[in-house]
Amino acid sequence: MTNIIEVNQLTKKFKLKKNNSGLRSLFFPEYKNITAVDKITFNIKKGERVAFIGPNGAGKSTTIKMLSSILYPTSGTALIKGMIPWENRKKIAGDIGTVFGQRSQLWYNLPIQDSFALMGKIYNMDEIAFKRRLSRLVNLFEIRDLLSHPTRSLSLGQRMRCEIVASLLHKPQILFLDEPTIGLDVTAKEIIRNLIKKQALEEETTLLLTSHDTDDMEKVCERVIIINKGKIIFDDSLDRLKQSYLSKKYIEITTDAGDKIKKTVNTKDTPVKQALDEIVKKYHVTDITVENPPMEEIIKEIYKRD
Amino acid sequence: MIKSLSKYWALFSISFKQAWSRKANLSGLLFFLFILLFIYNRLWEVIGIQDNVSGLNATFIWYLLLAEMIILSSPKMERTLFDDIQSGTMAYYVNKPISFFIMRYCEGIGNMSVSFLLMGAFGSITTFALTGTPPFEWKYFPLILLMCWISSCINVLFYTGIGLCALWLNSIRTLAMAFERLAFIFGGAIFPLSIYPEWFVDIAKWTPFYSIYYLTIKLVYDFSWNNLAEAAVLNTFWVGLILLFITYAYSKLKKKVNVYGG
Repeated sequence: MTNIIEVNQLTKKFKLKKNNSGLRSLFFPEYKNITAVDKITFNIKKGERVAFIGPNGAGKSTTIKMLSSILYPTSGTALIKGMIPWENRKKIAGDIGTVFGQRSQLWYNLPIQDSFALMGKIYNMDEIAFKRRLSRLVNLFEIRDLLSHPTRSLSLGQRMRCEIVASLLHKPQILFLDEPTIGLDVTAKEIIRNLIKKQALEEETTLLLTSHDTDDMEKVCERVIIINKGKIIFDDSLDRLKQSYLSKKYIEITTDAGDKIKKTVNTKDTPVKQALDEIVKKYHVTDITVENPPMEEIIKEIYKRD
Repeated sequence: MIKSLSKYWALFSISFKQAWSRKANLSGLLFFLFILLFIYNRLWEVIGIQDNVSGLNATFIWYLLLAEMIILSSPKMERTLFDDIQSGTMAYYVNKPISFFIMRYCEGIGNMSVSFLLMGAFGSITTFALTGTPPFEWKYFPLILLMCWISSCINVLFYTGIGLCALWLNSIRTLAMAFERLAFIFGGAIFPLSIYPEWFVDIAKWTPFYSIYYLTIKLVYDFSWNNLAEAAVLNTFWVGLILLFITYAYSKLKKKVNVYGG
């Protein structure tokens, strides 16, 4: 299968003004360079679902912004369907969709259906094709009841579903999702993950999803790229990552006496189900959560093994 | 081309509809306009009686109404653009098949048009009731209003251009304020430039305010095809100049755009 995204030695440095006091800084300001992305190279095939994960400040959002043609890089190249994104913003616009968890592309005061209609116009969609597409996505993402509500009145989870629909209206081949589950509760996260995956599988959409939540990649993606301090430190299949670094699960139990007990399970030795059965037998459990190791721990582990 | 125009028309229409629904805002605006017209009408009536000149208040109040329609209908575009650039919002639109600048401008025009139309309707009735016979022939009035609406569009364009200066400046408040004050002075936004000394008018002629405000509004009491043509030609010149600046600034901005955080 051909590569739909090709990234070669991509680098982004930001020049930041040092905040020195005094007159000298007024006339001779000093700057420092911050390397957000440091010579990263990778390719993504058509239809692949790739998680681009790392801790806060690792450079994942900056990378996605360069690939989605928002930012110019300092050096290196990237090709989206054979075109340099930041030089062909308008040409590739129809091929890419973007969702930024911390930004909204919907009009704040407009009813959702008006925002969608504007999006359809912006992408020069034919009226009939737009209606058909909207109807399909509205059903898939179950947002029919929200259509007449203005964006400002939606919950974060509802808004995110609408954001994803807005970014899929023009049927992009590549979908960039930057922290689509940030700030959502567990249920809303689960819904969003399922919908993203279902949609991508149905239309063979290439996904590049950034997150610092390891559950996002487990539920949605098949390949994982881990970035830390601007450099790629892991690029392989999700299965490989699971075998090597995600074998540990953290279980937290709350007993009826109100005590909180934490247990670590190595899934290579004990399956999660077996571990849970044992816990339930041993304690009077009122609440239970099972979590992956945090991102920082996985990164530490990767460095340790390297 | 038609598809391109239709997306901007859609933005204009939506913004028009939205502005129309802000009833409290619009009522406040009309109330303020009424107070302004009422006070200035009394002022010019007194001056007219003292100087024994009849119809003075009609001339100046119609002039004031059109000036205020241009000024008060402007929807603070500089602040919107400034916020968009400084917060990084603009960056998220550069990868969409639309010009962010034209998009915001169309929204601004939609907003402005609602205030302009309402002030036009309400202000004309009020001014007519306060001053009696107007200083123009009614058949020219739609054309005068159209010229004033075009001037309002140019006014919004200038303020949008000021907003783009966020590329170089950390604050555009001073710049916007200076523009506003200069418009009042050199555009004759309160009193027509004809009552100022000649040397002052000579200076004003070199500024965009002279044609955008004074020449256009003057049509209300001194309508002639020559005056109209002069206003149209000079306005076209200034639009060309501001568009040159906007094209330059916007192309710089698209390259320099930074998105912090996330």
